[in-house]
Amino acid sequence: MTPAARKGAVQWNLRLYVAGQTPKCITAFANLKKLCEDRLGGNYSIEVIDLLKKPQLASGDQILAIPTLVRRLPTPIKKIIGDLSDTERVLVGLDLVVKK
Amino acid sequence: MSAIERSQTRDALEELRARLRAAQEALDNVRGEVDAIVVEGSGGPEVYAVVNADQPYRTIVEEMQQGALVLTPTGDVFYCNRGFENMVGRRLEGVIGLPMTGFVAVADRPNLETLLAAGAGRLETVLRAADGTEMPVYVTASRFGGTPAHVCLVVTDLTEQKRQAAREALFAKEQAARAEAEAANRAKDQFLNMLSHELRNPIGVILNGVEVLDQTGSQEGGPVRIREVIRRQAHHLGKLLDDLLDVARVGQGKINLRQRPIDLADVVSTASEDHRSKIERAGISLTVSLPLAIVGVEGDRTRLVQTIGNLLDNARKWTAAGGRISVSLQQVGHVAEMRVRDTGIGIEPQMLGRIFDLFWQAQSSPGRSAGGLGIGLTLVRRLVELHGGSIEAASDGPGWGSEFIVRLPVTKASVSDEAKPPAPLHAASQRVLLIEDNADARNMVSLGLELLGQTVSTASNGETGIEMALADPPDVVIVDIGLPGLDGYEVGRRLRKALGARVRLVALTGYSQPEDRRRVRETGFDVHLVKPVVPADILREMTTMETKDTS
Repeated sequence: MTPAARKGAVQWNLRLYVAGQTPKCITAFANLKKLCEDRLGGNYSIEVIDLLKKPQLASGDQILAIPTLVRRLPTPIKKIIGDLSDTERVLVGLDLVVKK
Repeated sequence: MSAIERSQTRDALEELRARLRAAQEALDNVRGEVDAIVVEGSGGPEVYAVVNADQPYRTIVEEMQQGALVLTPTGDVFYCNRGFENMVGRRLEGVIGLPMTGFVAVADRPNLETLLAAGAGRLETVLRAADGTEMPVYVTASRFGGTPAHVCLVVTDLTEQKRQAAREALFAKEQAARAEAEAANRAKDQFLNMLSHELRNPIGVILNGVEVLDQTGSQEGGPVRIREVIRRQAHHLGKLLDDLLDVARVGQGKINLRQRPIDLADVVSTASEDHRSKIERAGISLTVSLPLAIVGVEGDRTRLVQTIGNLLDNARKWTAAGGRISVSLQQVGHVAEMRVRDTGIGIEPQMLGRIFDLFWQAQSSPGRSAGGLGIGLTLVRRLVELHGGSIEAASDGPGWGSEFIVRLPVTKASVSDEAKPPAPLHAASQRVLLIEDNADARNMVSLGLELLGQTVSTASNGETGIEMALADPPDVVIVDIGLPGLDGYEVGRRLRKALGARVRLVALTGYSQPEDRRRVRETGFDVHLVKPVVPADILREMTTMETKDTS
């Protein structure tokens, strides 16, 4: 059991910034979904923000590259850039495993 | 520097480091894990996506009607196009990451798993949308990428195809049903035809027998009345048969009216007088009121007499003794309007539309059932319609009598007086040969003709008949068409060939279809008589032939 998951009913609020359906964005979403199902046991919500449709939303989370995952909850806010295919790096970035 | 200031500086540094790390990460990833960047422009952030060389294919995939998916090696949806989104009624986010098997009907899941495990192949299955609706689809799978490979699926909607197939199947079924119904109908016609033939023969024999008894039997009251009953009932049977056959023939459009301008008043008068005795015997009074002027219609006299007769029969059947039947005719504009009104049991209002249906009879009052086959009114309507007219039934309800109104178009053509008086029944003695296999019919017809002064010899089959005719040529040969072995047509042909024009050939048949008449005529017969016939009819036809000859 991971440290975060052990907290029980912690609600995870995640945002994925994409630019339409580029291959990396799709890959990122698929990876994220799988990871959440595997590690968060259903206690999560994913909000997909398409910056091609609403570029002004990039300012809020200071998005530079796409895709980018933002962990809104639990705090503090965390950001992971990329298609999330390196599971180990994502788990570290989300505080789901302790950095070695 | 105070402790607070130091702490603030440390936090600022920490934040700066985090930002640098993010920027570094972004730069590192531009080469690998990202394919779009955000640049702060004068009008706000702008997004620059890497346009791949496969962009055209992407566009095609997004625009196509079929569903297209990429599955992970474990069978989860990795990507789907807009077509698939529409099929399952969910957006991409609601599809990605879910197992593909969740989108098909439960029963088909093992099949889909087999297909995905194989990585290539085809499958017909049922797709389940978010709202539970199902869609028949065709799924094509192909492998993609390295090991373990992704699987690409193309999903085609089969709804329209299935609907078309169902329509075609239904159409084929309907056609088969129609063919079956038509075959059954033909069989019914053949049966009716045969039935009438088989029943006409005995009726003819009975009528002949009565005729013979009239001449030779007791002339006392009892026997005379009994003969009258037998004659009447036999005629009645014959009429029922005729009606039955007529209904079938009208239904098939096989009745050809011989229409000519006739006076409908004359027809109504004839038909009413024909039925007067029968009606009055039942204790019912009959009044007929006709216009003085001629009411001309394009009509087949025989069929119109039959029509009015059927209406009168119907009125008589449903009226008790002491009742009244009235027949009236009047011309209203260009329409001849004939009414047959009775004081009988009447008709329920809701039944008025149905009484012209075949085999329908008022079943509501079993005690008043008057027999019959329920075909008379059907035949009446069909005959009236064949004449371009219409018929309507009216009644004020049960117990208040009924009225039938027939309307026929009035013709402007001048009406010729074509009522022909029956030919006189005295004829010079002729030598007649009768070829008939039915012994009763043979005896009765020959006896009847002899009583009318003719010299008759008989044969029971075609071969003997021909031999006799050749050995001693008679004036007239009467041939039953339905002979066993050498049939009547063949006998007639051979006699005509051997004896030439000097012999008169009379055909007796139980069939009265137009094709039978044509065949009889083509074979060389002079006269065609349909059973039942009585000797007087035969003699009348023989006499008419002679009259035609001498004129």
